Amino acid sequence: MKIKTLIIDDDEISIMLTDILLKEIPFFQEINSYLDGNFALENLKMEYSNEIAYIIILDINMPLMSGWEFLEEIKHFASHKNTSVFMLSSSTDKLDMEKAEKFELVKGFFSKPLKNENLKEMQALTTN
Amino acid sequence: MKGPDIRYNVLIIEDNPGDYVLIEDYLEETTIVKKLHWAENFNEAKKILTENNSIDIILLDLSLPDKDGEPLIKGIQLFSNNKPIIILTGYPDADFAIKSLALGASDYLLKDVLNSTVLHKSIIYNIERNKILVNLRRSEQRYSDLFHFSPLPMWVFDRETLNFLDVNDAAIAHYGYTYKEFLSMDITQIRAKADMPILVSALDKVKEAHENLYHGEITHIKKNGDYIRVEVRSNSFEYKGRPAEIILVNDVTERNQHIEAIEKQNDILKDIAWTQSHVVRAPLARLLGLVNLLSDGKIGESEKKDFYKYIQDSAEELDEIVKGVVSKSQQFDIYKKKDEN
Repeated sequence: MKIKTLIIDDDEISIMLTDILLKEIPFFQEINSYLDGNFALENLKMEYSNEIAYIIILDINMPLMSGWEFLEEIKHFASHKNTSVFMLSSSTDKLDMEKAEKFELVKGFFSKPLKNENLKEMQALTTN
Repeated sequence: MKGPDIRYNVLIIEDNPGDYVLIEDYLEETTIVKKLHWAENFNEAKKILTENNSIDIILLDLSLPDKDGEPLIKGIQLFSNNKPIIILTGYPDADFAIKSLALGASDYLLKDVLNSTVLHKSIIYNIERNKILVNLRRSEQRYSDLFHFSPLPMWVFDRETLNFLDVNDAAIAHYGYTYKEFLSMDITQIRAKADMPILVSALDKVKEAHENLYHGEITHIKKNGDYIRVEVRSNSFEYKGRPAEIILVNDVTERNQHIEAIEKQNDILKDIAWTQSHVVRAPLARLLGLVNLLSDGKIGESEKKDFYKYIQDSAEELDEIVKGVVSKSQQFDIYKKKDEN
């Protein structure tokens, strides 16, 4: 199955760091970055296909559309079978982790900065 | 005449030597006298009573050259040290003798029918009865002191008229009203208007007598207009024939202010903790990510310059946030707002 990777984060440097790490692993293909969840949502909605596996690395705290709002939107059309969301947060707030567990789409929760082993974990969780 | 073995010190205040000798004779017959003192007028009596506190009983003639009647009885009482006073009088003064009992005399004896038996019985009876009365008065005083000198404000009010019937020193000091002012007021006058429904329901509750009731926290108003929060306890009893309620008050205004201040501080500290975990962590995570990539050697020479700039920006952002945390935690002084209501 074809893989598409989305990075959604309002912090440009954070996007750059995630992007550099992802590019080292061939598994993550077609990497696209978004500073605003609204754009990511529109693009995803338009091109969404069950034939493609989507990996979404999603920041929680964003000013225009929070990670939670983004999740609420995509759960109407995205299936957890071909869509894996990985929450990325600068904090390790227990409440956030508990909240994330309630979404079927969310396959993992990581605190910034991402490390190589996090990416391997993502890969494992996605192919499952 | 044979009597018990107990003997008493007797003071006779009598200006008529004939009468004195007569009484002395009767007393000798009774054999209950340890020592007999004789005063011929008020001033002498005063002198003997002040110099000698072992007098057990006073026999007082009602008309002395320097004082008589009511002023005489009252005058002797000032120096009698709570010892019984037996009035000696003739027939013409019999009516007044009865009145003297109301003034605090223990007994009266008519000289015309006096004899040793009557005198003996009266002395013993009045000394013994007086001991009981003195004990009773002391006990009443003790209970009254418990009320008046209680460190917590207390008062008694009439359950029907709601008038204050008695207030203690702590209540006077705490609320600012004088004793007289309190006694001219009713309890609604120290209540905040908003608390009136609580008062009505509390009065219904206290109808079941002799139960110690806790009424929780209510608002009272001092004479100077200050609002205070107080915890109130009550018990019902009868006071001088009236259905009454005794109230014990504990001012918790300051305690509440402390709690409020501590809660406020707690909120601010929680806010600071939240800031630590969320805001501080953002540039820190960025710094870690940048440094990780640099140390892994994954960054080309041309990009390194940009990376150093990013690191510097993130470090400065972090610095600003930490400064903010410091000033926020210093902003709040727990005791600053104590005087505000």
